[in-house]
Amino acid sequence: MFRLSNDRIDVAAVRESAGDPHSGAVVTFEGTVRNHHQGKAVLRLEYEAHASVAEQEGRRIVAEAVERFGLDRAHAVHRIGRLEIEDLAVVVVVSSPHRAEAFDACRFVIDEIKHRVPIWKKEYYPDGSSEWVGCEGCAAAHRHGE
Amino acid sequence: MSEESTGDKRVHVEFCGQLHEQAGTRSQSVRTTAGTAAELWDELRERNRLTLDQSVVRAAINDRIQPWTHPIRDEDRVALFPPFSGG
Repeated sequence: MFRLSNDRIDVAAVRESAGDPHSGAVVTFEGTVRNHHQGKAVLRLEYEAHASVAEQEGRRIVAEAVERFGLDRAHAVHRIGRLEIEDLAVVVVVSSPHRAEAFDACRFVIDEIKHRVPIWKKEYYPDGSSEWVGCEGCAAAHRHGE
Repeated sequence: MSEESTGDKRVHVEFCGQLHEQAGTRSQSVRTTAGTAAELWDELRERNRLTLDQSVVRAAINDRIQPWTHPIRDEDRVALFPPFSGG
């Protein structure tokens, strides 16, 4: 299961839905909003997504993790909209018979979400400015492309 | 939504992330002669003064991410994705 959420993520509910009597391990990753990025103070964030492609790609990632690591269950929820410092941005919960697969799978899911799911983060700074994150190489690529 | 008009096909474009700020709109209905996604990107980039290079942008056509060589057809929905930064 993968879904986007406009509301606060209920970690306990996600954890509960990932439980399975066949499992001996449950690993949870919680991604939270930090108050700094590359040495700069951050005030808050906004996430936006292309909902239909994000949910389609997110579900594909979760299904790949289940298949690849032999999981019992895997759930991930990504928040969108305005978030404050320390808010939960993303939660991944996986369960499997043994811990090694659960640790590896949890990391796989969050890494793949970052690379493959169309979600964009905008940071807001104390001086009133803001910036889209993740495009640090774009200016160089732009110059190179010309 | 803004509307532009030249070309034989009409496509519905969605600008995502920083692209909607550059374009000044989240969606646009455009007429185009572009045969491929790459040709459409070139048109939109010039028309909307987008600064990103094609090499860092991805296109989803009718909700599926496709290569830039993908053909553009009348009434396609084309979403343009700058680099992702979720997580």
